[in-house]
Amino acid sequence: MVRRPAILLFVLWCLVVVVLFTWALVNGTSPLADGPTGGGGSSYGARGPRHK
Amino acid sequence: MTVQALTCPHCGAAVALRAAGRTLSVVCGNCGSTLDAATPELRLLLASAEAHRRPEIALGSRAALGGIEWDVIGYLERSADEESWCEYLLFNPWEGFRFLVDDGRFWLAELLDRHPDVEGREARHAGRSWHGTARYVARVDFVLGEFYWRVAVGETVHVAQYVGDGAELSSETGPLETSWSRLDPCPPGSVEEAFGIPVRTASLPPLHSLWRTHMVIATVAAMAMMVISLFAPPATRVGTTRIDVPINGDTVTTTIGPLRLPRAATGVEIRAAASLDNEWIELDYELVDRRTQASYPVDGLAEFYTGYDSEGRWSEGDPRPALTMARIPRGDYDLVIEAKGASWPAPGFFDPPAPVTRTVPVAVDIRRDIFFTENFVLALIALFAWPVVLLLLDTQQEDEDAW
Repeated sequence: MVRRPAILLFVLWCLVVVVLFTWALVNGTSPLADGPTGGGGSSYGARGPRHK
Repeated sequence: MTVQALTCPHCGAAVALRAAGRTLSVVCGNCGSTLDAATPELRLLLASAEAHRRPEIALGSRAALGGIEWDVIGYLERSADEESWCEYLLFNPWEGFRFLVDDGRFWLAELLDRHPDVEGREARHAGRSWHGTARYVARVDFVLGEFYWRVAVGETVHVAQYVGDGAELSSETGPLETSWSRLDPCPPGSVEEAFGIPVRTASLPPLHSLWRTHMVIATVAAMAMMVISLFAPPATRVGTTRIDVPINGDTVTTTIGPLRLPRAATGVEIRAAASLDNEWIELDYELVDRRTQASYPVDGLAEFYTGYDSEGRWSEGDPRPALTMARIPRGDYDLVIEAKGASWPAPGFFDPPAPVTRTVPVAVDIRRDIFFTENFVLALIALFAWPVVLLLLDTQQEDEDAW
């Protein structure tokens, strides 16, 4: 009559996300940091406005 | 309730008939054979030698639910796809039969005398509309005790679920007929208390709120992250300086230190602020560990441009760039800053160099133990992406006529 949703995988996924977030917090890191171990972009390139 | 004690013709074990005259089949508790409850000698319908599982609520148990005393006379386990649940058949001589459905939480199901009117995904019952949420094929995997139909392992029915105001309607279509039942959720803990079984710590909602369940789990995880964030050390300024940068002049170099980073690894933010007018300042930073001479470079750009076009005034550029550096090890550091300013438009390749127009003061602030907001945003996306997909699928499913 009623189906039980399979949510265990999602619970595990949430745990992984929380653990990764905590690890990044403790280690002061981010994949989007500008440097030196982050993956953010460089400011090198053309100077001046992009406005046309 | 009168209990008749009979003998299983297959294995010889005692078989109790708790609703004799009202049930058509009984499954032997010893050998699992299905017997004909309508015949005095319990004719064998289907022999079985399956080892038995014991239901959590024992057959023959009696308890009051909703002010009515019920005897548990039958137990079956069903599944659909990869999900399973169990159902207890309850009996009261005056009230008839009910199903106690256990899918993680308990539902009391009553067969409906009158079939609801169905139109598309909507069903009309008890003066209101019930919305169809799921259709699937349910299979009987295990059976024990008495039933008012000749139930057997492997029996399948097509189930359609409808929801309305927390209750559910369920239609089950088998080879011979369609039956409708209404399921009302039992108050949390009431069934456990009535039958003396361990209290369920968590109640799982029904399928139609699958996305809601995921949303709740994701929200709990997000709140956990927020609580964890509260324990993070606050961002602390470790140095500040001011450098005067000539526009169109030479590169200016300055060093600030020592900058003490006491944690094993920390995030550092370097924020510059300048008042610019169609100018840019290239900022090259280098954090140098005084002890190891390891250096961590990062480069930034402060810029601001403005002008007029056919749509009016425009402006662009960030004169206050903040750069972040991740995972800087513990140590005492010097920050070497190289800054070079220029004006826009820049002279052409063959043009003479532009003259120094003015000197711009640039304030530089360095902070340690910064909180990377983007980590939180990324984690939120990772947590809520799947619930949102489920929500969209659910919404899309509602629009499909062929549900």
